[in-house]
Amino acid sequence: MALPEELLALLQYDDLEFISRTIAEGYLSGHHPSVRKGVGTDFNQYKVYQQGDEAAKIDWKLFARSDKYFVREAERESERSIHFILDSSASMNFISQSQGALSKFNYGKYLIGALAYLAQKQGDPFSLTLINNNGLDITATGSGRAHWYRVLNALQQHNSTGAFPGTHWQSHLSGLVSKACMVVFISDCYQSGTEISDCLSLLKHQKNDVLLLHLHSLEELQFDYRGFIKFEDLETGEIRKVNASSVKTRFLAEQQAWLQQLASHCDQRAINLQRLSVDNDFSEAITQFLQQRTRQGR
Amino acid sequence: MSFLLPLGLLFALAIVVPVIIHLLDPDKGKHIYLGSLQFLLKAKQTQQPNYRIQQWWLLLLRCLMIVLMALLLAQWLLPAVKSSQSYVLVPGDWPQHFSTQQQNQYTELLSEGATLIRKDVSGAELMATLAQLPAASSQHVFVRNSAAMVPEFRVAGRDNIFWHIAEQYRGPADAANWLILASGTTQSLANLMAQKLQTLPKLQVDVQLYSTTRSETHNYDMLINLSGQPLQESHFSLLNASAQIFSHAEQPQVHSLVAGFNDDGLPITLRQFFSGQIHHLFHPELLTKLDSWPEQPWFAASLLALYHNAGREGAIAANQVSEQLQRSQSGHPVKQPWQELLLLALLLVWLGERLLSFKLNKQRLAE
Repeated sequence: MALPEELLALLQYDDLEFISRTIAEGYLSGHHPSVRKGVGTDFNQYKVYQQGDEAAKIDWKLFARSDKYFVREAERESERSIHFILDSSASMNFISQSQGALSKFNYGKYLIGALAYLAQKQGDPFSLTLINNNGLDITATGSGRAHWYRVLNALQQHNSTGAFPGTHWQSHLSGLVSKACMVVFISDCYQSGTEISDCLSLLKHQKNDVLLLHLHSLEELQFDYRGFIKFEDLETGEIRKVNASSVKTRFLAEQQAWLQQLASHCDQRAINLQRLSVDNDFSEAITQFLQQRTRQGR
Repeated sequence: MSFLLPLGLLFALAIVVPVIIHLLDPDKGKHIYLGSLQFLLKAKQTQQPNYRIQQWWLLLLRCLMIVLMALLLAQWLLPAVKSSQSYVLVPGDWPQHFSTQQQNQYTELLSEGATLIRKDVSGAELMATLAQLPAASSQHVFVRNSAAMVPEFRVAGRDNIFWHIAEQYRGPADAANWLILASGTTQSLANLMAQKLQTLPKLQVDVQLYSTTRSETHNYDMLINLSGQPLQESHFSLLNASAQIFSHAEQPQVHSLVAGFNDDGLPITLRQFFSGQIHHLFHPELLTKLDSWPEQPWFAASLLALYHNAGREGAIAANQVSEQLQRSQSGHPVKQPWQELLLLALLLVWLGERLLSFKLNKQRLAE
């Protein structure tokens, strides 16, 4: 499966700002019913009360004036910041063999660009952390268009190298996400030990919400390779020459076990795990993001 | 290690061919980067055997095949068993009659640590001397003429004795014994020879043994005199009578070999032989018949010894015959069990190579 043509055409520009904005606006202008009306400061601050809205959020002053129930939303939401964390280890460089494919890292970059654009539009404060064992590259929490550019700049300058760090570097993250906030963690979840599982446990606490966007590629998921192939690990550089067809069944079984383990790990910690294929466009990812945002609001 | 055709070893250079094939791995082109090998590694633990190791086995087998081919081409000869001891036996008047080459050989042997025995012995006495030496040792015997090479040694397969016959000796034969062979079938002859070998000293019994056995079986036909002394007339009458028997023989038998054939194709009687006429009566046809005689080796030796006995002219004829014999023998393939083993090994290695190659190919093409 390949990316839609218009997206491929867009990606040719190699301009993070343009691409991110076009993705986000394209999503908003498209027919995606899940976009919540009234999100952000640019929209109406008052929303007609509907069944299911919390009664505590009804603006009683306005009720007194207009004799109608209105709900205030934007004020409350803007207090909650969004933290984007992008795994920038070498394994994120995985790119499928098909024409015009995006590497996982680039996919994550564009996705964060687009999501940050949406957050910026809504007036939400957001931050970006690129994480690998060379250290953390943190763009501190901020809001507004200028901050969006700062985030884009950080994304632009970063490459994915090395491995996912151990607890030493991760401890810096805990301070960042200590308050009530939303964490969007984008990773391929490949770990040599338990570093990513540990990191997820660290990120999640009572007050915040963690959305794990697990990037995968159909090529890896299906393992449709044939004959003898030299496989090289992007992180360790280890090379194994195997008959792909003969290990396929076992490979898929191992992969499935791993996916289930990851899912149960997230389940236990109330982490919202969403699997995204880098062979698809970004709409699914944005939908998941917005849904999470909505859920968190309640 | 010695080789008949050392140049054949050059074939071993062909080893580079499989090595190059191995290095030009046909699957080298396919290289795929994966985010993580963890599933592959887990999956591979159960997958066996290892492709890479199999590739190395294949290379090894191919190289082995070429080495075996090279050895086969070079005709690797089994390394001669170097016994711990070697003896050199020379006649009392050494180095008279021996060529410079033989003398060099002698000095070389001594320098290699051979024990020197200088003794003027021949015939049964010589055999007795040799029999006292350890069986495992190699024995180099320098004798004045081939008459001293008592045929029984050849029959018994004593191949640890290396004979060096003086090239310039023209005197009477060294053997001082009568050597009596019996007639009848070749089988019974062989039996008799075996008995004689068991009782080596009895070999000196000579004429008396001949007479007694003759009277018992009435079937003796052959008498070889290696002494150089003329026989007595009483012996001739006996021999003449027996010669009549095999003059009618259609196939040449062992018992008639002593005389050979004259120009008319008739057996030469012993009387003719001992009267010194043999050397010019020797018929070329005899040579062609030699091959069909199972006792050929010792027959030839005996015959040559007799020729030596016949004087200078006979010695010249004997040299010619021996040259012809060598020529006809060198035409035969040298029997080497080693070569057959190599061939068998090559076949096995080749089969193994095919099997492994087939297996790998099947794996490679497998879906």
